[in-house]
Amino acid sequence: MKPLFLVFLTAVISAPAYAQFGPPSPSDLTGTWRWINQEDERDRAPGAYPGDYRGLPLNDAARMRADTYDEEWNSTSPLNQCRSRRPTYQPKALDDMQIDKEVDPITRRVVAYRVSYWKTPGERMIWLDGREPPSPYAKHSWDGFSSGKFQGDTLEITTTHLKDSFIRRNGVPSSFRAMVIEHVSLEEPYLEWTFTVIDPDYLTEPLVRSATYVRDTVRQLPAYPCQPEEYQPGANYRMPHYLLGENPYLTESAVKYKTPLEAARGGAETMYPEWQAKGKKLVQRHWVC
Amino acid sequence: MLLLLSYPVAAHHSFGGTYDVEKKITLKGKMVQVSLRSPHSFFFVEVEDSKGTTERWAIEGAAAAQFAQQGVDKDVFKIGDPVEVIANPSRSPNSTRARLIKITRTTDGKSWGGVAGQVVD
Repeated sequence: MKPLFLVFLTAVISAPAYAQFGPPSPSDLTGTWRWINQEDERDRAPGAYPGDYRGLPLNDAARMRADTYDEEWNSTSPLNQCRSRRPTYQPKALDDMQIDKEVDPITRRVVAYRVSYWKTPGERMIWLDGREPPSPYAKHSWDGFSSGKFQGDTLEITTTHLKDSFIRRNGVPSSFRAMVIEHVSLEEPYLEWTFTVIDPDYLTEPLVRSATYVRDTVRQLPAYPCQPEEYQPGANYRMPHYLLGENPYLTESAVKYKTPLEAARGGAETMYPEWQAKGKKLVQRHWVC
Repeated sequence: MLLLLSYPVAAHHSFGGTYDVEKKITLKGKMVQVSLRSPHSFFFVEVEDSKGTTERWAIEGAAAAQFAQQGVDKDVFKIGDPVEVIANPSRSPNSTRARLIKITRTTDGKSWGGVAGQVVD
């Protein structure tokens, strides 16, 4: 009887302690995270070539907007220079990232993760307290409304209420009706960030991509006081763009990557392995830029 | 032995989409405005073309913090300095914007760019 009594006593003593602190906490994602610069280097550093829509299940409307897009607009418009990148693209950007906790001072429960990026103004909040999303008619923002929930050790984030934005830095758009679902998994020292864009206006299928960050134990993100270039005296106001059929750069990526133009033009069909056989049959042409 | 160094680069917008990074142009002119800021700084240079017409070029440079770390602050390049600029031209036809590769003050050779780490990104 005596050993059984000891077992019972141990259980009684340890149970209150467990109850007091709650169940084991899921992964703690806080810290500073570096992007890995050899991952998708072309897309991340100089940016994708104009007209490179490979790997994107875009529809004709998205293709038309991207065909008429001139990236110079992004660097000349004071409205755009300091806008933050959106969750529809941000993990593919070349930003180191810092994640902090917002803790309720009374209950000490984590209310949200606050995410800051190296070269992006502002902060993104990922609410973990189960709050209801705002009305569908509520104001949309660059970062949208993000709520997160741990599924095991993986944080699942759902983001809505986004502004019209982009999914690749060559003008492939995302709409204000887009939704982003992210899955964040910690495998020290790596943070795997998978994000899926669902956009009824510009994508025919969900677009799934992922990015890897590595923990940086010594770095603190510097301040990023962004100040757009002001209007220049004497400069004519203009909106850089190309009219339909007049963008001379749309075949550039097909030439660079030696792919059929049909592949560079993207679309869901071109993303599947079955399309490789079709692509091989297409006559290789020598594109002239 | 050729030693290749890899630098983490960062661009707020797509340089490859804005500028033709495989072409270079050289501009000679006079500095008329210096704007050190984030996301990118700008040098404004007045350049006289072969017909005697003056054009104002916007040369997009590094973020102010990067310039500061690499010895370029508001007191280095001044209004009126004669400069030579090597840059990537804009993809847009007739645009007078360019991405800075190297800037040199011709009176004393003070320069930025063209060496490891001094890259507009």
